[in-house]
Amino acid sequence: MNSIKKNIQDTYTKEYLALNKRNDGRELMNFRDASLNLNTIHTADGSAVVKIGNTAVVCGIKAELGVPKAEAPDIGYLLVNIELPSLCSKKIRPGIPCDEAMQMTSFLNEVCNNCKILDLQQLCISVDKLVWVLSCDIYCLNYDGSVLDACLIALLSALQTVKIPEVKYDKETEETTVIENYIPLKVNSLPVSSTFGVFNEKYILADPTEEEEQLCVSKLTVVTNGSLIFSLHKPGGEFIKDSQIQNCIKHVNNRAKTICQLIKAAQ
Amino acid sequence: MSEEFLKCQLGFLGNTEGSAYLSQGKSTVSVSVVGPFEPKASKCMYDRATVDVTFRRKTGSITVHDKMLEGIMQSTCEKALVVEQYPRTTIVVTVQEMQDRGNLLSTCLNASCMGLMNSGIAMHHLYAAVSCAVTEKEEIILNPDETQINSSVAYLTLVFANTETRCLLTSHTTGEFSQKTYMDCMDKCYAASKEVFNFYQKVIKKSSIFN
Repeated sequence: MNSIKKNIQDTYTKEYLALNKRNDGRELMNFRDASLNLNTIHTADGSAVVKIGNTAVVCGIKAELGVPKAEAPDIGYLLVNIELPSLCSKKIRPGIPCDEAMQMTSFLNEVCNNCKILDLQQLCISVDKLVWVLSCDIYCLNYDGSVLDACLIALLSALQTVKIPEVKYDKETEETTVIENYIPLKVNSLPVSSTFGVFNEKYILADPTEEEEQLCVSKLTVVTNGSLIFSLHKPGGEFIKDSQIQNCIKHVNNRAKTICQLIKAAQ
Repeated sequence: MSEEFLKCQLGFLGNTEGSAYLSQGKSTVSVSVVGPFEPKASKCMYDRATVDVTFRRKTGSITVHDKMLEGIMQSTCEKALVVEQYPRTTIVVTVQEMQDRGNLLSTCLNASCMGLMNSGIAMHHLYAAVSCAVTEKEEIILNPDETQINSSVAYLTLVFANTETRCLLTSHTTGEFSQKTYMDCMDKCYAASKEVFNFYQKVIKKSSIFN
């Protein structure tokens, strides 16, 4: 961002923060409202659109048949990929995937492993021969901060809409027959991610917008299901004190309850 | 932390501003720091220096996961340097994996700090990374080895600065844990980070500047 513009916005935001308010009317630890729409893409096996404030992401899941890895012959694949196209924000240039998209993809895959989101054994059709491959593609439509939070909600709710058909596999002839008997996936846990922006050592903002993210010196992402923490990710930046971490975790737990209700109500 | 655990050699590369070769347990990493020098016009910022961290694997190209580690190192290094002092320049830090037997992220971070110290670029503060694993019985093992990491329920890497009060710089976690466990890990890792800072001091005292 242009330094002069940044300087003006910085002073503007600081004046608001002194009054415990932010320039969109929220208080420091208030989150934006989230909305959720399920099964919006009919050609995918499961899909969801999530909006948090102006941030919008869409997730589509495609189930395909594949061969399992030799070292883990009885589990299927869950491949998550986040794409930040150049249409979602002016700071992203068209071309090869940007570093941020790669880091987010890696983080989301790690979270999925940490909380064992799916029992991957339910994706197995025939040991060492045939398994389901769930490719989850998350596409950001509008980048207005806290994209990762929206991505995780979209992924979870899309996974819950996936119905995979029963498949019969003949080991001798290697023939597959698909029976039109759809079984929904079992999703084990409901992790909710929340991002905080560290403005300076005094102010921490929950669920920052893109503008606030630019002004913040570092970000803190906490993933939790309300009791257990699955990830507490803070990549560098400004210091953070113990009391601030505890305060953040407290707010995340409340947020997790709201989001869980939202996901459950949508079904 | 035993005497043998951390080993370091400073300035082992001739054509760089600073370099460090750090081994932490069985993991070894080498770091080179080049800069500040004039960058391409597209990378030039008129009020500060840009910091560029590249992470390289022993073999092959880096994966998406390595890209995330690179991002963590980048923002940790950038915050420690006084970037405002070197406008219109860039500082390039290259982290080369030599051997990975667990605790790679903390080794890389500690090595990058030593490399930056050796380069003589102005820094706000030093940082020390400590990894710990939480077992099923909720025991906390500092600087775990590979098998201990694989059998643990949670694995955390925490980075602290050498300030008087406890300040968390970076946190990267895998696995699941409770808030209480996290705080316990913070206590233990913070105590261990003091030893890392003592080690830094010892290495610098031994280096040629003071002899």
